Amino acid sequence: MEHLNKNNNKNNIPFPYVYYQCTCQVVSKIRRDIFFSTNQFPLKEPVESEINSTTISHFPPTHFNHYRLKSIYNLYFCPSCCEIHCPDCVKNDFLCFYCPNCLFDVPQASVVSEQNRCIRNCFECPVCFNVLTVVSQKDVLPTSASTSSITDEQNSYYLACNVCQWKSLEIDLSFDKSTGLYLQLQKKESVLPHEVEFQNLRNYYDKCLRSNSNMNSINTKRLSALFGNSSSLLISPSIISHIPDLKTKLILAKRENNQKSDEYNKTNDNQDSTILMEDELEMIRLKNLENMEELTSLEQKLNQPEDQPKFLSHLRIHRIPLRVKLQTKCNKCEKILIKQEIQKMKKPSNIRFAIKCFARDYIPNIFIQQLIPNKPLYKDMPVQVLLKFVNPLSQEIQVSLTTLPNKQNENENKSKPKIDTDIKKSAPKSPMSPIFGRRTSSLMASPKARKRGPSLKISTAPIIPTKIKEEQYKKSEGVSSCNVTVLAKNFKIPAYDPLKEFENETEPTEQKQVGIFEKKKNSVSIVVEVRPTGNVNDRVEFPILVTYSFVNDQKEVDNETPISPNYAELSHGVQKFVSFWTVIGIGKIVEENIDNNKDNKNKENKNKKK
Amino acid sequence: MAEKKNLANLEKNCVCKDIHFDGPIKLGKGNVIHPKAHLKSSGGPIYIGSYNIFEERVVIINERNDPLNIGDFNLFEVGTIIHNADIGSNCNFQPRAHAESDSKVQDNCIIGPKCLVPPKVELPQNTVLYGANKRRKHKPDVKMQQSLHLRHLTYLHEYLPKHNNCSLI
Repeated sequence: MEHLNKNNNKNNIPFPYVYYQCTCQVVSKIRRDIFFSTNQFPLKEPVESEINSTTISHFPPTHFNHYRLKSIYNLYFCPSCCEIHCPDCVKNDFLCFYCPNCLFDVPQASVVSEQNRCIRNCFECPVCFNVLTVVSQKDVLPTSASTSSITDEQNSYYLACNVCQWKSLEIDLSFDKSTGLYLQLQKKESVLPHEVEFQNLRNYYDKCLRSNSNMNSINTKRLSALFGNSSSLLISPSIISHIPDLKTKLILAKRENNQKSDEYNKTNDNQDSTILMEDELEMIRLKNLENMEELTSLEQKLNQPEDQPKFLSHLRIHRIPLRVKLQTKCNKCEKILIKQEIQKMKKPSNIRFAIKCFARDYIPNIFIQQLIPNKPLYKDMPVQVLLKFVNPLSQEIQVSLTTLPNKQNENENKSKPKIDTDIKKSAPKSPMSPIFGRRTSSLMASPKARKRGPSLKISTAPIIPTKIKEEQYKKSEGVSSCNVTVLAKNFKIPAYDPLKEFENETEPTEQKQVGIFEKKKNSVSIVVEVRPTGNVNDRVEFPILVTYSFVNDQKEVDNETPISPNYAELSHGVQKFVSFWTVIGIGKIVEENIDNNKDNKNKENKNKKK
Repeated sequence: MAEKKNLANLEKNCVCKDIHFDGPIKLGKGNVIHPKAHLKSSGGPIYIGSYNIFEERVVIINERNDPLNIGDFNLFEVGTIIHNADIGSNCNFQPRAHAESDSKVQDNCIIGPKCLVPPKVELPQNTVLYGANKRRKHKPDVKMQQSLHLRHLTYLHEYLPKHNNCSLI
């Protein structure tokens, strides 16, 4: 078990942190539950539409690592379905293709024809994969009198890498002109054996295709991609399947092992003999190697898959592969979450966003403000954590928190969070604070939620986790369970007003609510008491369910039917509910040092004596 | 011929007054030391060759009792730290390069930016350190490099005293 813990330690999130659980984790847990109970794996859509605050409340995060939990700065928020999205549950589309060196926006037609590479003179170093610069050989010898030997007729340009000092002269490659390098390169490369082989094959199959009567069935687009060099073949291997003759010939060759067709027989024989000779020469060369520096690394070989050379002198240069700008869309409602600004020219150097829906602009940001007392954590010593909730919206939000049931109180209480009716005057009945701890069906607890959402077609109610899951959570090694008590379970956070950002704080006249440390312009700090009950070197991490609601004054247009069951229609607007789990990690439990206490006592005695 | 003329002009060292130095240090001919360089030897002496360029924030420390030798025609760019390491000629230490203790760098090496020469390692001639601890051998173009270096030196000898307090030693 120890080695498992060591592997897990890499994924542990460094302290202190406040990380969030995305709704896709809840969806996957529900689907897994349904599968275990009914042996049918459900589709995503009906499960996703059933998600609401109460369902999320039943699936706290159980594994605290980088895969399941994300920082708020990595999350997106879809304003129409009111749900958090992480980079894993989001759709990406291509927006524009560009070369990272010359920042030239490549039109999509050229992308396919140029095999995803830069059209202009941007080349990649085969050794260190950085950009190559064009160097003129004349500049090399500035003052010597022997420059007359280099005339304009001779080759005078070569490529050099500034990072690893590789020069294309090492592979005997130099150019006549400084522009149009790719064309010059193509002429030189067409003499290489694999190129020659490719051209021969292409010519042969060209004849077959033309003589073939079934010209209509062939995809002409795929055909045109054949008319390039051998590297185009690698981009779409399905081209081979479109060449009718090749398939039939392969089948024939397989079936008739005894009767070998003439052409295949000849080529095989030739290849066998040539391969043997080359192998022997290579073996001799490898045996006489002085050091490993002449050999290529795996990455360098894979960058040149046509011939995969073993020696550095056989490496060839390639053009820089293009990069892509993406636009992200919500999985459910296809709403665009992130889109970069596209002006008339689609400049890749433009870094502004046209649409950006980051989670930090919609969800209350949670920070750990302070630990009282600011000492290392000891076992069974209660520590007060000040959590600061910051409201980024321009509307007031109502937040309610719940935690997992504490160890001791599990059998005694069914903790039902009290709802302060004084504060919630604006909001009528709403299934905001989920009743946690009861092992009853969520359908009974919140009838409104049940009515709104479309029903699952599967008969069992799989939304509640079974008892086995709860025990598994507590047994996870290295994580200490802690008793968490939140005093202020419901509070309001005022709206964010950019005009008042630099104004001074005025003294609040209203009485402070129990459990709230301080209230500022658009943030509220609350006190959470944590008593770690684990062993030494356990990580103290605990999840909190945050549910918040805000009121949109404008009524939704009748055409837009609410996709999620998180709406409540009010007289003056629409109230939207969002809930999510956050995990707060404070630190590790440290061994209590009795010696330290003794030293402190001695110091105190000495001070007293003085 | 032209090179010889150039060398004759650069006989004196152009040392800025704003440097920190401590201990026995010997300089050759024609060196240029930029301001805020640190040359400290708490142990043995530091013997520096000729026609080197030490840019800003270069730290050369010798804590061992043996002398620390630095060759000729080297370029130490900004932020280089050389800790008890012997260095040959014609080397180029790019910004924030480190040469750890008891290592040895031979001729014609190029240490890339923020690269480390591990302790007790002898770097053979003509090596390039680049990226994250990658090494390879390269064929240096000695003539081009030297002529470039000489041009750099003459330029500095001409313009550095105009903008800094320099003394010609």
